[in-house]
Amino acid sequence: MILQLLKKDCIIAKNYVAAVILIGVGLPVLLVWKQPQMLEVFALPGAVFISSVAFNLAVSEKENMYPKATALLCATPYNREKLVEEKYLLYFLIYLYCCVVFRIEMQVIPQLSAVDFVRSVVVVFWIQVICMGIFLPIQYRFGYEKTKLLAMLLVVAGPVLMSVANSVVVPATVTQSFSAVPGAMYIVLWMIGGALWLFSMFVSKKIFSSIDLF
Amino acid sequence: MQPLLEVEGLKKTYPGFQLNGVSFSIYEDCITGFIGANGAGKTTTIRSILHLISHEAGTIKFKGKDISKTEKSFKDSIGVVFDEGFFYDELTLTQMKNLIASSYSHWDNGAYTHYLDAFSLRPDQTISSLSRGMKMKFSLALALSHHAELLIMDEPTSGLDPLVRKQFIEILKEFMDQGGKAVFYSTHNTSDLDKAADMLVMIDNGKILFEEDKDMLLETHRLVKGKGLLPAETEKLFLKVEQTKYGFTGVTNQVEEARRIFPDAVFERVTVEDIMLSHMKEGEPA
Repeated sequence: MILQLLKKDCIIAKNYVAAVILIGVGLPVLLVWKQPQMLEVFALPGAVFISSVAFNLAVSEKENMYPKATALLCATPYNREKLVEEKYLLYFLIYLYCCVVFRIEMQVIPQLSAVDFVRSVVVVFWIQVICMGIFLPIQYRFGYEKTKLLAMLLVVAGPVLMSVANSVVVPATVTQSFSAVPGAMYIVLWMIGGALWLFSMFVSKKIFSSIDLF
Repeated sequence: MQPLLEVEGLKKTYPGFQLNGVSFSIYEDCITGFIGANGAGKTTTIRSILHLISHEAGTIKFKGKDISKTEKSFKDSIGVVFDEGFFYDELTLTQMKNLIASSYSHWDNGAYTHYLDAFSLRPDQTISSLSRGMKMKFSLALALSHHAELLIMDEPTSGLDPLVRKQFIEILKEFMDQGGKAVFYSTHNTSDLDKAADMLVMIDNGKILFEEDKDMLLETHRLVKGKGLLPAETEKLFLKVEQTKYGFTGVTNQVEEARRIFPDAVFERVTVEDIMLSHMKEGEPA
């Protein structure tokens, strides 16, 4: 059921699917070539962030063109919650896709192997949780037209946020308490991010369930 | 007759408009026409039933169960046709079908193919290439291909040519012939209902004016055409009457009394449209 909704989004924004694929593959390569000093800060975070926001704008614009189509879906056994779940899954899949592609590229591009992959995966997830996790409920509440500007702002603020996220240092007291199990701290941080992502989805479901359609 | 869907005390307020305690039932083996002027509240009522908009008060029951508690199974049991194809233009018919079909538990691909053939629709066509009539046919094919018990349609034939409307009525009759089904059909284009409807529910300014058997309504109303001036004291016999310099024309539901008072007048059978117009207040859009 949810796969058909994902497929629908990919079809209505098909040009952006190609863009997401290209950004995921191309941005790290471009940075290796032109700005190698920015790899850690922008390679993976930039790919996920730009892909997610661009895809969101494309799909939302199309859905805004066909508000009655959303109403038709809600008149079928697809409930509104399913439609929200699909959107959160979509942005999570974009994140996963970019991580997997980046990991593969690390194997073939020596310069990328300097990046701490596990740390990047967690940092990027938090950027995704903070940006999309806050933006999506706002978009469900106010609609595409009223939040278009906010999405643009997000794009502009993205590099700053990535830079800040990359400079965050976990206090030594915290790292020490996880020192017994290597990687445990990242797993815990990722899971907290996951919980926040689910919380954002819950808020979006609540908002969308009370919106009058078409 | 068993009520399949019961709407009780539905209220919804918009600035300048209110659905005011709307109550009616849709019965098994009946095509129920939902009539009223543009803006009378037909679409708002249907959107409330489908939970596309919230309502402030009222209950909606399907087979005796409150649909707010059984929304998924309710929507699994109904087919929906809107006034325009509510589709994504970029998708092909097959892609749109796959999207819709995956939500139903009893999707019947054989039935879908049958309707597509009957309507001369090609599955690889994109929705943007369909005319308005073709979109309606596609919409109907989707609504009829999952063994729905109730079809809910909002102005499905508005803007369609008479041939497509005729086909549409035939399909509805075919659907009803299966037995145990019902159709709820909103329209302000009442000529289709003259041929197809069993029951009529009329809404005006957010209130239900009547809920009656169509044949009974047609039997109890008459169009009266008389010569000369209509005496003022007899105006109350008419639901609506128009006076010209040659005579008067009005719709009455007090046929025997009117025959007694106007023995020389011509009494003609009414249409659904005559009944609808006669119940609408002056100055309302038709």
